[in-house]
Amino acid sequence: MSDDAIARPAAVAGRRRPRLRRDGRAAAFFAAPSMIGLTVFTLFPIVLSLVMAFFQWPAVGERTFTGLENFTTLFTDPVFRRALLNTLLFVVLYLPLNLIVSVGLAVWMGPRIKGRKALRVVFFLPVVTPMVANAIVWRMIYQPNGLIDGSLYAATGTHAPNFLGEPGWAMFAVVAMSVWQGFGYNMLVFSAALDAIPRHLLEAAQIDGAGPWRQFFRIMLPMISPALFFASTMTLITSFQVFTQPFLMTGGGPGMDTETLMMFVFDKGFSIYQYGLASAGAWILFVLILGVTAVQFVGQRRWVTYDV
Amino acid sequence: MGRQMYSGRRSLALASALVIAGGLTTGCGGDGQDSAGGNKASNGAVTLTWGMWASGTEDRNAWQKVADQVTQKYPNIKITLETSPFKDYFTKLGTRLAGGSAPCVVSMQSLRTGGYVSGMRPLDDLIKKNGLDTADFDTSIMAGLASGGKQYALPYDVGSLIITYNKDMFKAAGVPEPKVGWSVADFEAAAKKLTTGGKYGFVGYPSALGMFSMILAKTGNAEPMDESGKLTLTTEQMKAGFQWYADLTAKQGVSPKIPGVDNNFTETQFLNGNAAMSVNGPWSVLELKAKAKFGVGLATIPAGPNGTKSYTAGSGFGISQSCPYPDEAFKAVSTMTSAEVLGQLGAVGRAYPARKSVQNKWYENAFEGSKPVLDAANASAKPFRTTKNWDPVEKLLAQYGIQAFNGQTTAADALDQVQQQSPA
Repeated sequence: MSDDAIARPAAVAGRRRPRLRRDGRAAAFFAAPSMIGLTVFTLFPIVLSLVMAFFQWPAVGERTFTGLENFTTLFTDPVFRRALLNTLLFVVLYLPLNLIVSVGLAVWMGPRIKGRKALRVVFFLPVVTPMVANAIVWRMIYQPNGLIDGSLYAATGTHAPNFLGEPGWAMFAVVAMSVWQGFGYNMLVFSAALDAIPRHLLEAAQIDGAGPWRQFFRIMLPMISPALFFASTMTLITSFQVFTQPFLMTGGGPGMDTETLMMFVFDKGFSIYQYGLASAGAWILFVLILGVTAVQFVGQRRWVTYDV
Repeated sequence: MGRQMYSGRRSLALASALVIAGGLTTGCGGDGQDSAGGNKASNGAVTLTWGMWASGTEDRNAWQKVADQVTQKYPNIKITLETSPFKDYFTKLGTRLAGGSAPCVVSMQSLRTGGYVSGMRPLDDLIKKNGLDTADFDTSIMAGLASGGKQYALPYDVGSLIITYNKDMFKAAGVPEPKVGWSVADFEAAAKKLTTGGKYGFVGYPSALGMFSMILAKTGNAEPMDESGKLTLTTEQMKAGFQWYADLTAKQGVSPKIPGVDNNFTETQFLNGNAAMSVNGPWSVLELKAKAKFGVGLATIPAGPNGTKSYTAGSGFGISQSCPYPDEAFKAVSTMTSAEVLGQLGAVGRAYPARKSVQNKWYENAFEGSKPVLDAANASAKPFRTTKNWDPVEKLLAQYGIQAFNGQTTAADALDQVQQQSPA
C-alpha cells in the first residue's frame, strides 16, 4: 500500500484531484440519508439527554436548571447505590461465566464432533428467541412446583428454594438464565476463531509432546485472544445494561435484590416521569461503561496477540 | 491519499453541519395545526384520537363499537382508537403527555388519576356548559376520578372488590359456600379446609387493591393513605393487618408461595384450579367465568370487627390538556359514558356500569347470586385513594411484599422499606 503511494508520480495525483472533489460531493450526497438519521435519532437525543441531566425535567410542567443536583440526589439515594452494586455483581458473575461456557463449548465442538453444525444452531437458538418467551419458560423452571422444585421433590422429598422469590437466590437465578440466553453468540465467535487456527500449529505442538491442556492454554487461547477481547468487551457493555431479564422475571425483587441500574433509570423515567433524574442515571451508567471499556482497551496490549 | 481524505472530511463536516441544523429545526418544530390529539378537516369534521387499554382483538373491537357510536350521534366527530395493554398504556400516556402529543380523549383509572392530572383538562366547566347531569354516576367513582376538587374524567365502570371462588373445589372439600357477610374466621376456616393435596384455599399477592381491601376488612380501619394524601403504611394496625395477610402464605400455608413478581399470579393460580379463592373486581368476573373450567361463585370480602368492608375502583374518560378541540372531545366523552353505551357495555359484561340506572344490565349476563353480593359490597365500599406517584408504590409493594409473603421478612420491615422509598 505505502510503496504504491510513494511510487505514484505526483502528476497523476494532481490530474485526479478534480475528480476526487466531485467524488467527495457524491459521497456526501450518498451519506446524507444515514447522516440525517444519525443526527435526528442518535446525536440529537444524546445531546438532549445530557442537557436534561442538569435540569429538573418533569413530564409536564416547569423545567428548572438544577446544576449537579440530580447527580448528588442519585449518589445519596440508597436505592440507586444498591442498583449500582447489583449491576456490578451481575457483571462480575455474568461475564466470566459467559466466557467460560462459550469458550468451553466452542473448544468441545471441535472439528471431530459429529453434527457440530446442528449443535451450533441449537446453542445459538436462545439468542434469537424473544427474551419474553425465555423469561416465561425460565420462570416455570424456577417457580415452586416448577421443573427444578417438582423433580427434586419427586426424587428426594425435599423442596428446592424459591429461586426468584428468595433473597440470596434471585440474582444467581437471573445470572444463570442470562448465561443460557447469551452464550450462543460468543460461542459462535470463538468457534470461528478456533477454526481459523492453522492445524499445523496444533500438530507441531502435539508432536512436541504438548498435552490437551497445554495446547489449550499455550496455543488456542493466545490464538483466539483477539476474539476473546472483542467478545469480552461487547459482553461487558451489554451486561452493564442488563434490564429485560430481571424486569420480566423478578421485577427487581425480592426487595431490591435484582434491581439494576437500567431498571432504576426506567422507573425514574417512565414510572414517575422524572426525566432529569433518569438522564443523569443513564449518563452515570454511560461513564461507567466508558471507563471500564477504556481500561480493557489499555489492558489488551498485555494479553491480546494479533500476529500469527 | 491524505488529500482525498481531507476533502472527504470537509464535505462530511459540511454535510453534518447542515444535517444538524436541519435536525434541530425539525426537532423544535411541529407546531402545525395537525396536533397528534386531533385535527379538523376543511368541512368542519373533527377527528379525535382516543387512547385506551385493551388486552386483545376482542377487547379492541368492543371499544371500537363505542367509538362508532360517537360518530353515529355526532356525524362530524370521528374517533381514531389507539390501544395498548393496560400497563404499557400508562407508560405511553405519561410520555405522550410530556411531549404534548397525548390523545384528545384519555382513558384513566381511578388509582392513577392523581399522577396524570397535570396533563389533563378539568371537566367542571364543560359539565356546566353542556348541562350534563352527573347524579346518575356512582359517587365513589366520581370521587376516584377527581383530584383537588376538580373532576378530570367521567366514569364508565366501577367495582367494589369481592372474593371469587371455585364452586367445584368447595363442593369436593365439603365446605359450605360463603354467604354475604361471612366473617374472617369463616374465611380462614374454609381456606384451611380447602388446602389439601397440593391445592390451596386462597391465593394472595401484594397488589394494592385486593390486599388493602382484605386488610381494611380484617383490621376494620387500617388504610394505606390518610385524608391528606400521605402514605400511612407504618401504622401499627397496618403492620398487623399486612402481617396477617402475608401469613396466609408464610405461616398458615393456605396460599401458595410467590415465585417472584408476576402480576397475573392470582389469576393463573385461580384459573388453573390451584387455589379456591382470590380477590377480584367485578370488571374481571365475567371474563374469569368464561375462561374457567369450573363453576365460579362470588362472595363479599370477609367481615372483620367493623363488618364487611371493601374498596372501589374504576375507570373513565377524560380530555388531555393539549387537546385542541375540547368541546368536541367532551361530546365524545359524554356519549361514551351515556346510559345507552354503558348499558350495552354492562350487558356484554365488558364493564360494571358506573351509571346506577343501567347497572341492572350487567346482571343479565352475570350468574346467580351475584346481585346480593355486589349490592352488599357496593354498600360497604369506599373509594380507594392513592398518592400522586402511585406506580412506584405498587412496584415496591410487590418487591418487598413478596419477601414478607414468603416469610423472609416481617410485614413491619417490608412496610418500612416501602414507606421510606416511595416518592413523596
